[in-house]
Amino acid sequence: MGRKGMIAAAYACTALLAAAACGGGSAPGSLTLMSGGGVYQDALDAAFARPFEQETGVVVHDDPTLNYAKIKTMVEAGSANVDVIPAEGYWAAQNCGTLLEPIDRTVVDLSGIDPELIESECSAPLLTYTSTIYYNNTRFPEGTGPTGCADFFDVARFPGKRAASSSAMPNPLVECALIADGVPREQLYPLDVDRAFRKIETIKPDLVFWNSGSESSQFMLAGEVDMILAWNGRAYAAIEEQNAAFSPAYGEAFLHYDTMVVPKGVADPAAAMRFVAFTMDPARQAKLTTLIPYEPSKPGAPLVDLPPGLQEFLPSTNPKVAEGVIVQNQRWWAENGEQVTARWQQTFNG
Amino acid sequence: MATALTLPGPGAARGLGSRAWLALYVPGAALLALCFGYPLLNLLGLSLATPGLGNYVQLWDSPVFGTVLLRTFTTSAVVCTVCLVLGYPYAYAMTVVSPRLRDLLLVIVLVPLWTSLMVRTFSWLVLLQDNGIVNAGLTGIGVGPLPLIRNSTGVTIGMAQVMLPFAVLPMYAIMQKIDRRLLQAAASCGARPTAAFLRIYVPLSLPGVLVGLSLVFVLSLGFFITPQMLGSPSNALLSQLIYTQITQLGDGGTGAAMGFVLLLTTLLVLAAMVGLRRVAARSAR
Repeated sequence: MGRKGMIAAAYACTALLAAAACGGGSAPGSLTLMSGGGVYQDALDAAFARPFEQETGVVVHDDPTLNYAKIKTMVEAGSANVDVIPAEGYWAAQNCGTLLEPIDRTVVDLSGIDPELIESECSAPLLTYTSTIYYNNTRFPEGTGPTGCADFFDVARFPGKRAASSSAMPNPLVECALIADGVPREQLYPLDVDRAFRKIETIKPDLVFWNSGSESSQFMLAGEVDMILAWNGRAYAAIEEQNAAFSPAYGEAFLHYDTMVVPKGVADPAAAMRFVAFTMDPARQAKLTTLIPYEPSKPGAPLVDLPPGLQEFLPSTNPKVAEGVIVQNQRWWAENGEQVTARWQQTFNG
Repeated sequence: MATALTLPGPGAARGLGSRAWLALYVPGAALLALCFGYPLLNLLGLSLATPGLGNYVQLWDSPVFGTVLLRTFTTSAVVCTVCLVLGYPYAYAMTVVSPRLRDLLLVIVLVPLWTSLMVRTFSWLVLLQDNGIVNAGLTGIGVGPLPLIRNSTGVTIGMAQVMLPFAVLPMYAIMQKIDRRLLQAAASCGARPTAAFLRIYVPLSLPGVLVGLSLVFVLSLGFFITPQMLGSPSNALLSQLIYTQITQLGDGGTGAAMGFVLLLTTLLVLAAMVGLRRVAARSAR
C-alpha cells in the first residue's frame, strides 16, 4: 500500500468508528425492552413482547444488556433508547422522579396487586420471587434440618457452611439476622442495621457467598454448603430439574419483586405505557410462570401447566411457603442502601 | 499504555517523510482524544462535582477503600510473580524447540485468549470447588481436599491463567532475538553454563520481561469477574467497589473518584517500571 493509501485507510477507519458510535435510538413505531438476557429475556419475549407485537403492530426489540448505570447515563444524556425495563423494586423506588416516569394509571391497571409492592408511583410490579433457606439433606436428614432464620444463625445446633448472596443490596440476610436475633417480623422496618451486623458477625467464619443465581444452583448441585439462602426459582432449578440433594427449610420467605419501569425521555411514552399495561394482564403473567419460575404480581388467573414440582416452591401454590412470606421493604432499601453497603463492605471487603 | 512500553523499532519512520508520519498519527490521536480523553475529563469533572474534593476526602476517611486499593496492587504483584515464574521458562522453551513444537506451544498459550472470560472463570469454579475434579485427585494422593476457591489461591490461579499470554509473548519476542552464540562465546572464555545464562542471557532478556510484567500488572489492576467469582468478599478488588458504587448505589461521583485514584497510582507504578527498564537497558549494554 502506498503512503497516500495508508493515510486514507487510517482516516476511513476513524470515520467508520465514529459513525458506529453514533447509532442507536428506538425507531418510530417500535419499543425496546431491556433485561438481563438469558432465559429471563426469552420468557418475557414469549409471554409479552411477541403477543404485544401481534396485537398492536408495534415492533418490540430485545436488549439483553440491563445495567442500571447505563440507563442512568442515557437518561442524563437526554437520549433514552430503551423504553421498558423490568427492574428490581429498590431501584425503581430509588430513581422515581429523577430517572423514571410515573406510571400512567389511566392506562395501566394496577388493581389487585398487593399495595405493599407499589412503593413508588413509577412502579408497576410485574412478578415476585422469594429468598428462602434450603438445606443439604445428606448433611441433615429430612426432619432434622434447619427450619428458618433462627437456625441459619445457630452454628452450635447446626454447624456447617452457609451461603448467601454476595450483593449488599438488597440482601435479605440482613432481615434474616434480625429475625434470628428476636425481632418480631411485623416490627422489622426500619431495620436496625447495627444489630443486624452484630448478628451477622457471629456466623461470618461460616459464611460463603454466591454472586449469581446460577452460582447458587451450583452450590446446591455440588453439595458445597450445608444450607443456603437462595431464590426459590434457582432452588427449584437445582432441586427439581437437576436432583440436587437439598430440601426447603420453609420458615421465612423474603418476597422481592421486579417492576416494569419507563425511563424519562423515551421517544413514545404512550406506547411504552401501553406495553406496561399489556404486561399487567393476569393470564399473560400466569403464562410467564410456566416459562420461568417467577410468580405473577397480579392474581386472578389460575397457575396451570406448571412444570412438575414447581408448585412446591411458590407461595401461591404452597401454603407452607405462603405462611413464611415477609415482603422486603424496597423503599427502606432505596433510602438506606448506601449506609448498609458501607457497613457490608466494612464487614466483608475490609 | 501498551504502546508506550514497547521498544521503538529502529527507524520506524524511515519509509515515510516526517510530515506524512504526522498525518498517520492524527486519526489515532483524534480517536483517543475523543473516545478516551474527553470521557476521562468528564469523569474527572464528575468526581469533583459534589462537593469539591468531598468525594476524595470521603475515600481518604473510608476504612475500606485504602485496604482494597492496597490489596488490588498486592494481588497484581502476586499475579506478576506467578506469570514470571511460569512464563519465563515457557518463553525460553519456545526459543529452543523445533518450529513445529514452537507453534504448538504458541497455540496453547493463546487458546485462553480466544475463550470467553466468563466461560473460563466458571470452568475454574467447577474444577477447583471442594468436591471438584482437582480436589478429588488431591484427595486420591492423600493431600486434599484443599480450599482452592473463594480465597486468594483461586483468584491468583484464575488471574494468572488469563494473564500468562501477556507475559509470555513479549518475553518470547525479545528472547528469540538474542544471539545464542554469545553463550558459546562465554563458555569458550571459561564461564559455566549457569553463569553464562545468568550474566549474559538474563540481562539481555530483561526488556521483554519488564514489558510483559508491566502489561500483566496494569491489566490485573482492573480485574472484576475473576476475583468476584473465584475469590471471597475479603479478596475484593477496587473494580468491584467501583461497580457497586456506580450500578447499585447510582453514586457516579464516588465511583469516578475511586477510578481516578486507581489511575493515578497506576501511572506512578508505570513510571517506576519505565525507570527500571532504562536501568535494565543500561546494564545490558
